[in-house]
Amino acid sequence: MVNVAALLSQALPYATVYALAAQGELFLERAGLFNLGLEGMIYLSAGVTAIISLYTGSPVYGLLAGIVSSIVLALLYGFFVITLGADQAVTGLSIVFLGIGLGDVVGRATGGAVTPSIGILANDLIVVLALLVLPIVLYFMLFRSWLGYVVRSLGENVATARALGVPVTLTRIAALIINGALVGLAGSYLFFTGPLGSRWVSMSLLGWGWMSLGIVILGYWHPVGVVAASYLVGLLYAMRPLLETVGIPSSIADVTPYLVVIIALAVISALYEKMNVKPPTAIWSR
Amino acid sequence: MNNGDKRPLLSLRNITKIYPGGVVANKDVSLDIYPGEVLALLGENGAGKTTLVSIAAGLIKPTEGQILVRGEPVIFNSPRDAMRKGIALVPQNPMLIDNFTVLENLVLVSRLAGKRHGIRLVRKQLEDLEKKYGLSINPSAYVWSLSFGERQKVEILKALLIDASIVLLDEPTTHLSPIEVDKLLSLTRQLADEGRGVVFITHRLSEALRVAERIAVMRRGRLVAIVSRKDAHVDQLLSYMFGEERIKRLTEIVKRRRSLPRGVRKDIVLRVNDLWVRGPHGGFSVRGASLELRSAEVLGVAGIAGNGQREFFEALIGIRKPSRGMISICGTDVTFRDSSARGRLGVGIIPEDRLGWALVPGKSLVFNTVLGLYSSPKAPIRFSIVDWRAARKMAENIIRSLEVKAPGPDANAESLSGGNMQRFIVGRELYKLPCLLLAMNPTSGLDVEAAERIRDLLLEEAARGAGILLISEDLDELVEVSDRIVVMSRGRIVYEAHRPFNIDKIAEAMTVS
Repeated sequence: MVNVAALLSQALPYATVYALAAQGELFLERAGLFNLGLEGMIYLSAGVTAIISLYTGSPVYGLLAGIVSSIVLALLYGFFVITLGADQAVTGLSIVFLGIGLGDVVGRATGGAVTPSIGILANDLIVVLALLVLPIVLYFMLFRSWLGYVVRSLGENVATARALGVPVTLTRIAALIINGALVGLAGSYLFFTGPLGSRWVSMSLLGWGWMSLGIVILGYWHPVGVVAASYLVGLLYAMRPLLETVGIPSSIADVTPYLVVIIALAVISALYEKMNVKPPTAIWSR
Repeated sequence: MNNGDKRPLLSLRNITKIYPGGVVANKDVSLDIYPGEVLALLGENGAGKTTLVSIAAGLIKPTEGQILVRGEPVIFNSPRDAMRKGIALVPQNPMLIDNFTVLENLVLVSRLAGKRHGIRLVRKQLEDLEKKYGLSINPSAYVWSLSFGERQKVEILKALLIDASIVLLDEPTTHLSPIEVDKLLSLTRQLADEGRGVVFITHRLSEALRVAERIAVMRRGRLVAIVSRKDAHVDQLLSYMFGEERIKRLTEIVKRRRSLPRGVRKDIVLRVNDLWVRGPHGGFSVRGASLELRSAEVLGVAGIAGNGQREFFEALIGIRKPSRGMISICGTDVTFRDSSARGRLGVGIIPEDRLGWALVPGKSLVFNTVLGLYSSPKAPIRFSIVDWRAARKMAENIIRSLEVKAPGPDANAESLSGGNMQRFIVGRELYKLPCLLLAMNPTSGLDVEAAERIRDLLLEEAARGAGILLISEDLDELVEVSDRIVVMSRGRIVYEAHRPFNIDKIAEAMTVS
């Protein structure tokens, strides 16, 4: 029979990656920016983590370096979008390609060597942070504190927020740093515990950023919704081998998470509206 | 009141504001506001009143000049700085976050104003303010669900919450019913009696005389005069507002208007029967409205904003599907047909939003001519191909015959002033030789002269034989041009009045029921 407990725990690493990246994106979208570049940021962070852990011999340095590299990409995005007024979609897509390109250059430099990895304790800490602490903190910060009102006002109506005296640029830069840090942590964690197991293989860490963008929508821009969606998708990922054992072709098993996300979204969005959870208006009005 | 022994709360010194593009909005304006007084800032639209208070509230920076708060020079880099100095602006159109609750909006503002108040404390303060000023509002209601009057209440609560010593009210009565206006004026009085300095912006002389100790009159960006109410004469104030020349010209326009023929013919050009239309939030906004409009008649639809006029208009012009009922134009049932069906029947449409609905910003007047006429039989289109030369000629004709101030037919629609835009739109709609003209707030935001011109054009069209349906929030305007006025309240036609109109009765029907 299926070992349910094992399945539930196998879902945790997947869910952690998604939750970190999606919460980072959620925060940024609540502040009225839409960073499509997650895919590139995760990839770069994983590559940087690989090379720095290898050369310093310390996974913690690798992890921190991964986070910093992702923050740099996020700020680069901010420079183009806020300072130069570039289009968000175009800039976001550029970040994707830039991140994947750079990440591959630095990742390949490891020559496929196995790098030191983070210990079980650090691993568990990150899981708890991503799946328990972060949603609670973000919920209270965004919806129960005045700082959250400042952030969310930018996602609702920038012109009005500016007229109210909200420090628009400053708040958005802060949101970008949080976005970069969480997405970077997702990338580093993915490198250590993902399918590679602390060994760089080119082009094997793709798709995580795109899925995280979808999870923000499935979670309906709400921290608790996002963590639930992350776990759901993580669970579906963990179930893929299981689906194959019951005779479902692997190609269909691979797309199951994506299909379920689409169907779930259609079903759940009405429920969210009923619960008075609303997406940030600016995402749609732009 | 003797201001001699008091220090001004707020002083504006030699304020000049030149917008990029060279428009001079304020020219060398100096003004003092004292504690305990209401100062009316009087002037017609475009006189620079809003610019002046926006500068005082830190929304925009002056090109030149100085602001002093209690004698101390200040520089405002953001509205936050002004709020922290105790200056609050109640803008003409409330600036609130729609998807936030009232409480969330208020907490945000109080924090930005530098008050260290938590959510609970703000909620408690709100209760106190409600008792003290009678401003009752549900703090957990979402702003989008509030009426205009309620939103304005939230704006005033914002000012009270940050304990502003200077309150700037920008055209606060624009969207209010007569009863609400009375309440607002007494609240204004109360604010001043508590020692605040209040600036009350208005273009209505009567309001200025009712509420203010001193009246400052602005014209074309300059401060023309400051008079105390005791010494104020209506004629004098009018000539300050408009200038002697303009007053003469306006009198002539009114005279010419009176000489236009008025008459009612038999054929019904618009018939609406038991129309039900859903609003943007799902519920019915129009609930069984019926009316008839004959050719050569001007029918005014009065009502306080938000009583279903917008949805009614949108259903009439074919961009909002009615749930049930019937709309028939010139004998053709168009209830469930789109706006191009109206175009083919020769219906002229003058929507409220000039840029966006009537004109495409960033496109030339020629392009906008074609776009506005494309479904009409009069369109410069042959076998689905646009005849640009004919279109150009049409645009030129419109510009010439309606005296639109534009560099030429290739000018960007966006670059025209509001009055010229509206004149161009009306001219384009007249090209259809409409049997029916549907207009919603066609003169909102226009200065007196431009508004007169638009009303003239509507009347001339009626004299030609078109039926005119005029939905307007400006009761004075309706009374001036309509042959008949119906009142819309909560989506129903609740009252009908014929010439000569009893304004009090109409106003009563707008507010009661």
